[in-house]
Amino acid sequence: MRITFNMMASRALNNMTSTAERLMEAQDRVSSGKRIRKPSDDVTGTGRALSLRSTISEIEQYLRNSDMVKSQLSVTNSAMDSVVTSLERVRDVALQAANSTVTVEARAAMTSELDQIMSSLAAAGNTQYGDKYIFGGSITNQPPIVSSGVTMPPYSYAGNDTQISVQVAPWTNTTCNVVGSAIFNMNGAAVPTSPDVFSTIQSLKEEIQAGDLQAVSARIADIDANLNNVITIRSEVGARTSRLENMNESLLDSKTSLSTLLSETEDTDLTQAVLELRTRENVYQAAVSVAGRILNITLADYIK
Amino acid sequence: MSSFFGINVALSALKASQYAMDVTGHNIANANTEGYRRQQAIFTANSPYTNNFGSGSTTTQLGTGVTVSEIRRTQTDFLDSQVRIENQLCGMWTAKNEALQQVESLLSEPGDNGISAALDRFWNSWQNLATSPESAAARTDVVSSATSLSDSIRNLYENLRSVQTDLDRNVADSASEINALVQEIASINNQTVQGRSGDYQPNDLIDRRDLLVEQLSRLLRIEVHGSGGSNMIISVGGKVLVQGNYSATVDAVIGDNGATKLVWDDDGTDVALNGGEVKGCTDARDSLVEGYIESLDDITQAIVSRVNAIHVTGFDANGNPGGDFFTAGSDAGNISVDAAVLASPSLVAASGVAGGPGDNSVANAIANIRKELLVDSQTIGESYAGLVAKIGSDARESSVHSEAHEYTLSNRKTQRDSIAGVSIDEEMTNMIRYQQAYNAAARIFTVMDEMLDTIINSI
Repeated sequence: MRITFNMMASRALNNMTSTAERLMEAQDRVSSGKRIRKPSDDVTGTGRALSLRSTISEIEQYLRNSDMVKSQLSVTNSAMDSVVTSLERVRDVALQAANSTVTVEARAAMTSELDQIMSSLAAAGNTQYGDKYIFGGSITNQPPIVSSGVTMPPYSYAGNDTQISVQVAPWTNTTCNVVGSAIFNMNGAAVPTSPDVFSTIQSLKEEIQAGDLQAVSARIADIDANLNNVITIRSEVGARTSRLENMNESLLDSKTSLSTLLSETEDTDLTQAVLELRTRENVYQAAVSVAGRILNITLADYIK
Repeated sequence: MSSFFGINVALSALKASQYAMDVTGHNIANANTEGYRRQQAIFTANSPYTNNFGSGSTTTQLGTGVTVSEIRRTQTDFLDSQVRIENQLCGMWTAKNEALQQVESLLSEPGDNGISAALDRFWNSWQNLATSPESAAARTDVVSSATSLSDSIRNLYENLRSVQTDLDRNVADSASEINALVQEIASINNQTVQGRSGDYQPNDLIDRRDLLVEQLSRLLRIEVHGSGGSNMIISVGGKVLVQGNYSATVDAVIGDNGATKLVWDDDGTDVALNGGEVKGCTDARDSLVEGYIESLDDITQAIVSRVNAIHVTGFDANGNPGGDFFTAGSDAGNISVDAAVLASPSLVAASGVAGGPGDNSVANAIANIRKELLVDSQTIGESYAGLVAKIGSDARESSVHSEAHEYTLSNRKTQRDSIAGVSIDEEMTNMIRYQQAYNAAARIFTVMDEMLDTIINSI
C-alpha cells in the first residue's frame, strides 16, 4: 500500500488522541474515587446504585423513627412505673383499713393519703413528652385526665383511643403510645367488671371514712384488677421496646451490608485503577515517542 | 527532414521535464491542502514522422519527442463515495452523542444532589412528620424538602428544553451552511464546464468541489450521480439539490410542534433526512429528549396528584381540612409547593382525624407513596431510575457508534490518501528523475549543437 507522510502523521495523531483520552478517563477514576461518574459509564451499575441509595436512605429514616419511639416508650414506662407503685400503696392502705383495729385518726390520715395518691395518678396520666400529652390517644394538645367537677367519678377521660402507629422497618409498624383509657380503665375500657382507678380509690376513701370494713375488703378485688391491668400493659410496652431493639439490630446489619454493596458498585477499586493508570500512561508515552521518532524522516533529508 | 530536427526533439524533452517539475512543485506545495488530489504529468510520445530515411525503399517512422499530454488528477470516485457514506453516519451519531453527553451531565446521578436523592429526602421528611405530627419544625422540614424536590425537577425540565433549543439552533445553522455549500458547488460546476470546453483541465477546481461535496455529506445524506465531472447531480431523498450549475435552496422553518425543520424553498415540502448531522440533531431532539421530558412529566404528575389526593383527606396543625400540597395539575415544568402551604407550613396536614393533632395516619400514608406502584406498575423511585438508565444507555449507544464510525471514516480517508495523497518521498524521487532527464536532454542539445557546428563551421 502506498503510504504518504500525511497518512503517517494523521495516524500518529489519532493514536495519541485516543490514548490520551483513555489516560484521562483513568486519571478521573483514580482522583474522583468514583467508578461511575455518569450513567453511561455503567448503566446497570447506576440502576443498582440508585436503588441501594434509596433503600439505605429509607433504613436510616426508620432508625431515626425507632429512636424516637423508644424514647417515647421509655417515658411511658416511667409513668407506668409510678402508677404501679401508687396502686400498690393503695392496696396496702386498703389492707390496713380492712383491719378493725384502725382508729378514727388513722382513718383520716389514710383518706388524705389516698387523696394525694389520686392527684399523683392524675398527674402521671397527664405526662408529657416534649409538648404533647402521650396518654390521650391522638388528642395530644390537652390533658387527657381532667377533673370532672363531681365527686363520682372524680376524673374523666378527655382523650380518644387512637393507636398512633409509626413505621420502624420497611414493612413493619409499631404503636408508639398507650391509651390513657386503657391504663386507668376509664369507662371499663380494660376491665369491664371494675370501675376506673379513680372511682375505685374514691369509693375506697368513702368506705374507709364510713368505717365499712366489709366494703373495704370487697374493694380490694377492684384494686387488684386495676393493678394487674396496669402491670400487663407495662410489660407489653416492655416487649414492644425489646422488639424494637431487635429490629434495630437487624436494620443496622442491613444498612452495613447495603452500604458495602453500594461502595463496591460505585467506588473505584483503587488498586486496580492505579494499575490501569500506570499502564495507560505507558501506552501514551509510547505513542508520543513513536510519533516524535518517525515524523522526522523524509527523503528530503538525504538528498544533497 | 530538417537539420534542426534533433534540436527540436531535445527541446521537447527539456520542456516536458520542466513542465513535469512544475507539477511536482505544485504537488509538494499542496501536500497539506485539504482535499488536494495528487497530480501527475503524463508523458506521451509525439506523433512520429513517417518517411524514407535510409537507403532503400523501406518506410520508417521516426519519433519526434515527448509532450506532456495531460496533467492527470488522481481519481478516487469509489473511495469518495465510501467516505461520504461513512461521513454522514459519523455526522449523525456524533450530533446525537454531543446532545446526549450534555443531557447526561445534567443528571448528577448517581449522587447526593440529583432527583433520586431529593425524592428520598422528601419521603423521609413525611416519615419524620409522622413520628411527631405536632411539631412545627417537622412541618417546615416537609415544606423545605418538597421545595427542593420541585426545584430539582423543574431544573432538569428546563435544562432538557434548552438542549432542544440548542438542537433547533443547530438545524437552523445547518440550513445556511447547506445553502452556501450548494451554491458554491453549482458555481464551480459552471466554471468547470467552461474550462472543459476551453480544453484545460480544472484539477484544482474539481478538488475544491469534491471537498465541498464531502462537507455537505456530513450534514445530509446525499446521493451523488455522474462521474464527478460537470454532469454531477446531487440529490437528497430523491429531490435534486445540485445539477450542473443549478442549486436548490433549503430553509429552516418552525414546524407545527415548535421544532425547527428543513424544507425545500421552492415547494415547502420537508427535506427527507436519512442521515447526516441534521438527522442526528432532529432525532436527538424529537424522539430522545422529547421522550425523556414525557417520562419526567409522567413521574411528576403521578407525585403531584397522589400526594394531593391523600393530603386533602387530612387535617392540618390548626385542625382544618388539608388543601392541595402541590399546586394542582402541575407538571415537570411548573411543579411547586402550593403557595398557601409555602407561606404557612402549619397548613401541612398530618392527621387523619379532625381534632386529633397527634394522629399521623395521613403523614404515614403520604410517606408510603414511596412504595406504591404509580407509573407503569413501578414505584416513583423505580420509574425515575428507569429514566436515568434509559438516558445512560442511549448515551452509551451513541458514544459507541460515533467512535466506531469515526474510526471507519478515518480508515476510509487513509485508504483514499494512500492513492491520492502526496507522498513527499515519491515527489522527491520524481524530482530527481525529471532533473536527470532534463540534464540528459540538455546534454543532447549541446552535442547536437557541436555536430551542427562541425557542419557549419568546419566544412
